[in-house]
Amino acid sequence: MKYWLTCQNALMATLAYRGNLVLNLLTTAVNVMVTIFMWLAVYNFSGRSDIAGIQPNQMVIYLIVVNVLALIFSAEPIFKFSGLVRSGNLSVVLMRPINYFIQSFWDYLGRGLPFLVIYGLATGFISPVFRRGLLYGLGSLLLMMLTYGMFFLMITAISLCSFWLVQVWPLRPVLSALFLLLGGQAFPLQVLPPAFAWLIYNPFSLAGNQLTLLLLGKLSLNQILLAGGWALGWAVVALGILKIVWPRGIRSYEGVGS
Amino acid sequence: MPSPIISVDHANFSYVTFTKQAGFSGAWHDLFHRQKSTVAAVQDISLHVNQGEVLGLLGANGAGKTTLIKLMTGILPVNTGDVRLFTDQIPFRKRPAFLQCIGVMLSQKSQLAWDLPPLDTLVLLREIYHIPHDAFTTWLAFLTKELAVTPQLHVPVRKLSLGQRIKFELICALIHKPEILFLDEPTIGIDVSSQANIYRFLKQLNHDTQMTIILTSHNTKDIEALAQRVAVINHGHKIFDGTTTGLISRYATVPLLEIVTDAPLDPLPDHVRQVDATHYEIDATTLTALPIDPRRILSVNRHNGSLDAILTQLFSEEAPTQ
Repeated sequence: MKYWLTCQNALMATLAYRGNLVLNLLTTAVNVMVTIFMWLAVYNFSGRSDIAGIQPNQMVIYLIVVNVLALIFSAEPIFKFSGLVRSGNLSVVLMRPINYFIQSFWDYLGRGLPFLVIYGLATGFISPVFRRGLLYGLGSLLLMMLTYGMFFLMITAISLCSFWLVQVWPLRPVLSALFLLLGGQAFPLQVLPPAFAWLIYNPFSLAGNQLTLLLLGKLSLNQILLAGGWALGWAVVALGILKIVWPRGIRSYEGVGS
Repeated sequence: MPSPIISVDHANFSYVTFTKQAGFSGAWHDLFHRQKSTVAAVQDISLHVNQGEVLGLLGANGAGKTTLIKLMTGILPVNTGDVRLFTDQIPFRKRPAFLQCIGVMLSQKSQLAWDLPPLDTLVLLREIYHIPHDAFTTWLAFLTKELAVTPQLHVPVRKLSLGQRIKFELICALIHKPEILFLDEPTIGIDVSSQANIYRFLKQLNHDTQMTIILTSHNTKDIEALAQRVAVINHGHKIFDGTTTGLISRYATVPLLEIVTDAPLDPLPDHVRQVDATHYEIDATTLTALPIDPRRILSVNRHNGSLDAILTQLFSEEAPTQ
């Protein structure tokens, strides 16, 4: 219940700034439109009706979905944690009988909830995912949950560098670029030469590219299992990093300010 | 004799800091050769607090009192020495049972969610500390009434005044009825009447529930109003541990009395020196009684006998040795 309340508070905090929410959505919409026009131009000028098996109308849906996913899989926990360490406000969190990571996860969930609902509705009503049998539907659901958990752990593991770096803002453009390029936000990774096929299993691609293809019904059950395996693997790596780095970080934490 | 609820034995804590040189050349130099220095924030401090005691920690800025609180609450680990609460709890381990029993209010660190009303944070704390709903409602109503912030429960935190925020921070620290309450600068930004309200409330709480309170403040009024005992920290060392009156009698060594009368004294009694029309000084070294009619006296103070004067004198001295 305490974690659910954390989620609820995070959602309310997101909705409290309606202007910010609308601006965020508008900015994303503009980005999506620019990318869509660029890709439609590529289709027109190349004279091809599909690129890497993706037709123009599918590309449009792909770009919309992957950008919604970019909103869900935000790197915000890094900057939030950095703020806590830098201001010394982490002390307040440490004094509560809670697991910081679980609380942070529910906070993350709460902040991303509006976009998760959009993705969920799209998956439930538009996508063929849940019309391909129970096993496929369960596999898809599992992949979504695993990927969400994995991405959160990965971002949280990265956030621990805040214990030693005073400023982590330089990471913001780096992470945006990673999601744009490795996550398939700017283009589907399937358009890359076969030599780069392995890239589709990087954490950003699992969160962006693979979940978009899942919604479009482009993943087979085997591909879902493979992506799920990779997500689990990355989650274990992130968890290992957390287990090793957190105790060291908390020892170096000075709780600055009074 | 019961064992102390807080035991600090020969605690030491130091941290590494970096110094930066001024100007572009300094910044360039620092890019390759950062100058480190170690700051000994707490040095060989021993302190024992019994249940129900109110201990005031006094010290200048950077003296080490907040660091000591951080060691006692487990925010920081001791380098050497030992800190234990409730006999066997090592704070830095942050066991849930330990965290359940302490309340911490760091005035410059907020528990409150900035964009939400205080009630939302308090409801979250209710769940975190597993407080039964009925008990929570009753206790919260009592706290908000005592601190006069009931109407502000539903107002977003960002719209509250500093004083109201501080009061809600105090409520957050008290909502689970902790056995030990740590207060770091609890009256910053609070008006005089609210300060008095907080003092009265905390005193009553200490009296009724035997809650142990550890308090740091630059405001000696806080300490004089609340603390039964004070520990003075200077340059990381504990230089005094006792009552406030003990502190005053130890350091107010000059038996010079400052007297204010209702009208000028005529004739001027022996041993009395006139400072201005109704303000006099008496060297009481050799006197056994005041040579002034008591009915004429408005106030008598011992020179250098206020806590502020003593602390000013103490904190301006170099690091003393124990």
